[in-house]
Amino acid sequence: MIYLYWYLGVGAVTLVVMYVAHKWSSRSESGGIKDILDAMNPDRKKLSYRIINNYLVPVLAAVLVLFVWPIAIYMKINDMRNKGASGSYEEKVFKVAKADLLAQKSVEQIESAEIVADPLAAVPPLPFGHLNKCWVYLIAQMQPLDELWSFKTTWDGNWGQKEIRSGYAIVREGMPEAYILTARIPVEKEYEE
Amino acid sequence: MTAQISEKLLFEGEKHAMCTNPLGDYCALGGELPRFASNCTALWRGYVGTWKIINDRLYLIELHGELESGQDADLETVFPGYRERVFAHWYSGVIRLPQGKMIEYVHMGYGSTYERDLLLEFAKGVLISRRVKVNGVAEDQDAKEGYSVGAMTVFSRQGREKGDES
Repeated sequence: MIYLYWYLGVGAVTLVVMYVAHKWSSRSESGGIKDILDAMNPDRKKLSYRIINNYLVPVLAAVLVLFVWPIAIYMKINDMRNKGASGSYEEKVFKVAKADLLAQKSVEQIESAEIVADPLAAVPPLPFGHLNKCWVYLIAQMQPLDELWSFKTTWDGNWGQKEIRSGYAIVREGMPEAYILTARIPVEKEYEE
Repeated sequence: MTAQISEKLLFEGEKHAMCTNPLGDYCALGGELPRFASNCTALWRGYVGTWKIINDRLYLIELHGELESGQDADLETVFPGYRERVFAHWYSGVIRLPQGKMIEYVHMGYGSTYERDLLLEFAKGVLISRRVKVNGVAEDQDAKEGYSVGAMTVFSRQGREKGDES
């Protein structure tokens, strides 16, 4: 009988430690995430859901930890071991190649072609609209003999997803350097008919 | 990866689930997005946007999310000075609106298949074509209509900080 008391005693200690750890690490739902979760599952507002979620499930979990605490400890250790175990993945970096260049353009030509207008004034009336900062940053990198070229290419990017990319690049001594993208259109075979 | 909560699109008087993220393209084209918190596995991007097509133009009209700082984010958080709507001029490509009953559930991204897809094609934020792709008929006639996510895990604060689930 003494062994049973010891077993349940250790279970009680485990339960207290896990409860404190949970309270320390858990957070209340913010307004934003609460709205999203409520929209996804309207049952969340029901009394039955709240009783199950807030009372029944925690009580059942506590009883389980008390009686099968070795499994709870094993799961926690396993969980901690797995942290940071995910492998590294090296992303491909997109670069504009010389063969992708289409036509040389002046700053003025590009700016007049890329002004974005909207009847509802939902975009700044600037070259590249909401992406104007990218353009400003690009031309700030230009040196006296640099040229600006439009480009277009098909990129076989990360995750095996091909996409058509177009934009403008600074060409220095014949080689594309910095660039901005103006479009990236996935080549989605499933959408083709 | 878990099936993802969709964006929303108001189109021709109806509210659709939208299985495309035009703000992802905004970011890929160099636009700055604040650091959204990923509060659950069904919302890795950390926000839900509501879009609307007005006179064949795509607008972002609402955004709900939470920043890593803990602050709630809205449209003005991403586009200061644009409280009502933002013209998605950066978006070129196809927007997918799943319709009908679910044929196959895939617990990843927007991978689930529905009876039909309404595909809207945009060029620089302007609707240029639309078509319906028929994927089949659901075997389960009692299957629920419309897009849904099967399950998700909500992150705890500690788990989120360490990039893990709880």
